[in-house]
Amino acid sequence: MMLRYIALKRLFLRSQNLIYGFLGFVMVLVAWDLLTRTGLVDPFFISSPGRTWNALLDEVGRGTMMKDLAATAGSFGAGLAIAIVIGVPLALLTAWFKYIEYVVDPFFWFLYNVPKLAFYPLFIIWLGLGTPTIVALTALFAVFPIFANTFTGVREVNPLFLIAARSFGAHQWQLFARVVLPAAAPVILAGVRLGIGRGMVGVIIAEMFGATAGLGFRMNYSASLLRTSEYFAPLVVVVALGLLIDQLLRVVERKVGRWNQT
Amino acid sequence: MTAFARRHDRVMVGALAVLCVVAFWELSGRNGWVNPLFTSYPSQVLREGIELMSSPRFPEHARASFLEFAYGFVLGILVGLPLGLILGRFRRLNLIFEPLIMALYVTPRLALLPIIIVWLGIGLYSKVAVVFLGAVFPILINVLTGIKLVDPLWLRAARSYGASELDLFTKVMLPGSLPYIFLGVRLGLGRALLGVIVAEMYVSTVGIGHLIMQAGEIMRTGRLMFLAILVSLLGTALTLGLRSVEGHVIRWGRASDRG
Repeated sequence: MMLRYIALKRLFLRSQNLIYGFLGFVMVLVAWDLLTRTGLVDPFFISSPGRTWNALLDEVGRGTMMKDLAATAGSFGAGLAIAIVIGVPLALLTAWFKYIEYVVDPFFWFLYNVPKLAFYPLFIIWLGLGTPTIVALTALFAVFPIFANTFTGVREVNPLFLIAARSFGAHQWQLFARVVLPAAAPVILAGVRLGIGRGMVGVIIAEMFGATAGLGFRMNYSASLLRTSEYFAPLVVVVALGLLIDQLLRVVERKVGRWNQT
Repeated sequence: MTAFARRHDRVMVGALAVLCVVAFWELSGRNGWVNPLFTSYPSQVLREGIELMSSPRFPEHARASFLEFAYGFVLGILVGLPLGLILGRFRRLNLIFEPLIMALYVTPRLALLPIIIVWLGIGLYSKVAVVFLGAVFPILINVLTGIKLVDPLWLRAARSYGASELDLFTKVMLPGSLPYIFLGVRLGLGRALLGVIVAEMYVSTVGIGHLIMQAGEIMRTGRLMFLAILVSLLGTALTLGLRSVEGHVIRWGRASDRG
């Protein structure tokens, strides 16, 4: 009896974070449900958990959810790929060559401080209304954390590693490929995680502003028709995706970073 | 001269690069290498900017954006700071609320824009709400982190010298987490600025974001560029101002930037 109690207690302690966290979500759902059930707030404005669930099932059933997900995922994937392909090499060059840094620096700071959406009308003029603009905006949102982290990662490589490698006769290229890049990998990966978060913001906003499919489009469309349940359904999907991707990347980060405590 | 150049080569090279780009931009627009409708050029940007700023309606737009930003940002600090302190202090509360806060933190909060418009209309209040949502989470989360990372040794030392709970809070935890508090405010500032512009671009009848959208819609690329540059300069100025305040207030360490 005693032993079982101790075992239970240990189980509780170990999963305490999960239990409390779960409790928080349940509390919000219950409060949301009660607000509408008691008639304190008209579900017209805030929907309700049940209505949102039904709207979600409905959108899945009609196939619009898959269509929206595919559109958002496509734009997001393309934007992120562009951001990585541009951001990582540029940051590596910038961190490695002093003069490139001096040249890139002012432009980087200028662009870093602009609310990126200010470029949206410009992209519309350049690329037209539609997917290319959405992809471009996603890339623009995602590229900055990726660039900044890659730069920092290369700059903060332990100088002892460099001295050691050099004293064993490593060339510039070997130094770069064998020492700097692996040492900076965890920080670069953290940048990609941040970039994914920013890229999600970019893709959703861009779709809200002008698209014909996608989760952001669906939210904008439903809200402008005052169909709150149909607005909340894609929002729930966006939140769930955000959490899922974030957790997934944290696991990957831990795996990559294990041998190198930075 | 060469010694001077060597010492300041960061600034010199940077300025030279900017100058080259600006010159090339000007030439490409003037000589029609690129259609100025797409990229404009610096002298046109400047001309349209002056024209815009001297128009009688401009102060009204600037004032609207400023108010939305100020109300939302101050509200974000007023809510984020105490809430972060409380959650950082009481472990159980933190365990319940942290996952919720993290869920909202990783959510693109600007996705809430459509529903906020439904709730609060297209005027001042919806913009304030968007700015608030942008600012409050970075502040809240960094305050929370700061409190958690206060060295337990300091707490034990203070306690063993007979510090009360209140002393512990005001004299150890608060100053100890100050670097993170500032970091949170700085990150919140950027998000708040983005919030103002996005919310005004989404739906509005007044404000800098509204002007940006309008300039895009009527293809006044020069005016658009000018407004983008203006907002960027504002953001940079605010960030630098905050950094200098930070430098004066804390001398014992600054949390490094994240995201």
